[in-house]
Amino acid sequence: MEPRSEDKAIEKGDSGSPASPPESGTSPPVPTPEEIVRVYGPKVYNLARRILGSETDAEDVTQDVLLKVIESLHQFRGEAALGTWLHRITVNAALAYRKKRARQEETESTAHKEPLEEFPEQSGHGKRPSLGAGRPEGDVLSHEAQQLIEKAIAELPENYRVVYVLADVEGLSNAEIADILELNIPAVKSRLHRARLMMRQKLQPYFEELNP
Amino acid sequence: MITCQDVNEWLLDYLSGELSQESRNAVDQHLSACPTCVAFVHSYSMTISLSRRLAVQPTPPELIERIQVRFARANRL
Repeated sequence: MEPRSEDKAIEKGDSGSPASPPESGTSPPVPTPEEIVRVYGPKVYNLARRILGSETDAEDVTQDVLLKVIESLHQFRGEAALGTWLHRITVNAALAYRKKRARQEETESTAHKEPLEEFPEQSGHGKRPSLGAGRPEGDVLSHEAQQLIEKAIAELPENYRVVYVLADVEGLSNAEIADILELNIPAVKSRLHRARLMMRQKLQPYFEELNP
Repeated sequence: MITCQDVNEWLLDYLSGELSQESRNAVDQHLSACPTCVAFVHSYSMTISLSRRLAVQPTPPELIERIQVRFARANRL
């Protein structure tokens, strides 16, 4: 079986990978599975939710990513490597999930013409995506403002949405995004600028209301 | 004198501090005389700052439970 893209990310030995062996005697304590779920669960869930525009799909991706992280704990040297790697495998897992869903939906649209045995991968994901409006914690922005911005992000074309979320929501540098998405930095900047222009256009009517 | 289009094209680097001092001065000079670009830069910057203030939505409790169950099951195998 061909390894999935996130599996390749685990095996990859670059700076964002957990594959480097621990330094004997100097390694910081590795987090426990419970800590992984508590500390990194929201990070993975929110990133996946914004990339996919669906809370339900994000739950599936979060579960897969966190289990993969827990299984790979022994490979980490510290939280910095884990943080970078988490972004990478979450993005890869979310994009792979979206592709799989698109293939399933395409297949299902012609299912009535095909014999049932040609569709073995019915995984039960029959739920429709819902916009990630959610209930934010704290009072960072008003609930209405959160919804407006989340909706605008969800409406961005995927290539722009992923770069925008990584840069302007997650706060990653252009170099980190280029590394994760395997793009060059000018391409990242170009997508980010266009994404910001689209976001600005979508939010323009609401700036006065959103202005704190 | 640079144009409004130049400001648009240089804005990302201008805001991240990656523009050369000479180009930066040119943008500043343009902004001092162009209210349209001032408004544009303001709304562009506000778009970024609002997005950075989005709250983190908590992981659904049932998802945490699902992960714990799957992890426990995998450990028993």
